[in-house]
Amino acid sequence: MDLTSTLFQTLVASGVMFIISIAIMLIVSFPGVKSDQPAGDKNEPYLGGEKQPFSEESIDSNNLFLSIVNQSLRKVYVNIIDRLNTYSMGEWMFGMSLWLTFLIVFLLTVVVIL
Amino acid sequence: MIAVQVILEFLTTIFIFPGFLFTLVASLLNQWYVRKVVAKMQNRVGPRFAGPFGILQPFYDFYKLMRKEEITPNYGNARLFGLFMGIGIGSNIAILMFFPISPFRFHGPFDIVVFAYLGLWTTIAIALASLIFPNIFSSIGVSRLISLMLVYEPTWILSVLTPSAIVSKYSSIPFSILETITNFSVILSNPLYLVLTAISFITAVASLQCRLGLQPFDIFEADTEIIAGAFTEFSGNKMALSTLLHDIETFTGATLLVFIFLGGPFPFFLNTAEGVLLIILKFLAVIFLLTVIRASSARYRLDQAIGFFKYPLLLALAALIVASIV
Repeated sequence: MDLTSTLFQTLVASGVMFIISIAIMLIVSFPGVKSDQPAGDKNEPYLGGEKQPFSEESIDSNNLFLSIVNQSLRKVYVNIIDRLNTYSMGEWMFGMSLWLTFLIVFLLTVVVIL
Repeated sequence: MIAVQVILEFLTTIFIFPGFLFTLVASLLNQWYVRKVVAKMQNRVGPRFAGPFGILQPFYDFYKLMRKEEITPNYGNARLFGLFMGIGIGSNIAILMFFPISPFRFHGPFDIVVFAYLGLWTTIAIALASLIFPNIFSSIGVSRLISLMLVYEPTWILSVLTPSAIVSKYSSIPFSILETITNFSVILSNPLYLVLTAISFITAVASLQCRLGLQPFDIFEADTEIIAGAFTEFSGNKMALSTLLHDIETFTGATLLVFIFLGGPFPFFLNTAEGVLLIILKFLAVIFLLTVIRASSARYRLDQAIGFFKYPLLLALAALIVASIV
């Protein structure tokens, strides 16, 4: 089977990468793969023989990746949280429906363009 | 029913042949060959005990590392690491889907763009996977890797473009990897085309050597200088996966050289025993060439390596311009 459109090929190639990366992430996370886990003080970092807390030396890698989203879209995020977290189920449902509608319209637009 | 068949064919391609399983076995066998050649050059024996002639040693090493105790720094994230390694391995497997060996393949005008896009992902995946673990040596290694990427990646793409540009003149599907491979006889029809392809092959070998981090371009790893550079915090199964990614990248890169610059099974056909045997022989010759350069060179400094790359880069560019004009 030959794939013809460059855009479609890019999407499929990205899909291949994504499927394999999810598979490998699951293999790495699978507990049976690791036979011996470091226990106790092996988790403690040392520098020059002294205990060195990681919090003083490094930044959280989760923050490294998420901070881009948090900082660039902070206003949107705060706005959405304010509107949705009102403890009213109706408003939450309205927000979710709006989001779902946006996704469907976006996907339909992409399909029509392709 | 047809949709199910297509999905099954797709999944078989990415997970079995030429997907993950085939690539895993082939790249580990390739690692054994490389280790034997390097050992021979250094007057050693190399892998010996696991299996006949030690052929199973890389498999045993991989299994051992996957089971071994590992240390993950508190601020690292092992799952994110797995995701990035998977992206690196996945991009290489997707590259194999450009070759005629794949039952489900990419084939269309300008698919070389997709090929270039996939090629970038391996380096980016290594860089991101290293940056997950906070370590000064990892950061230095990654900065070197990114600096090198700025010179070897354009050289690599320009080298691959030259034979593709030659074949595109005689093909209805321009700049397609599969068309370049299947119409290799076009390159042999004119001595000038042959010279241009030979020049591109040399520049492609130089950029592949750098891409794989083999001597003299092992600057981003540079053990004895920056511990293990980008790979400093990798232990246990992380080490196994990063080694596997390197082996798979070697396998994919050498396969690409064999198919695009050396004609693959040419003058035979892919579905014949002679064709398959010729591909294997050409592949072993390419790996031998890369290994000899690796085993007989000392490491460049970063500025020396970047200075060196102006020659292959300009040569590849000149070859592409001539191939486009003539």
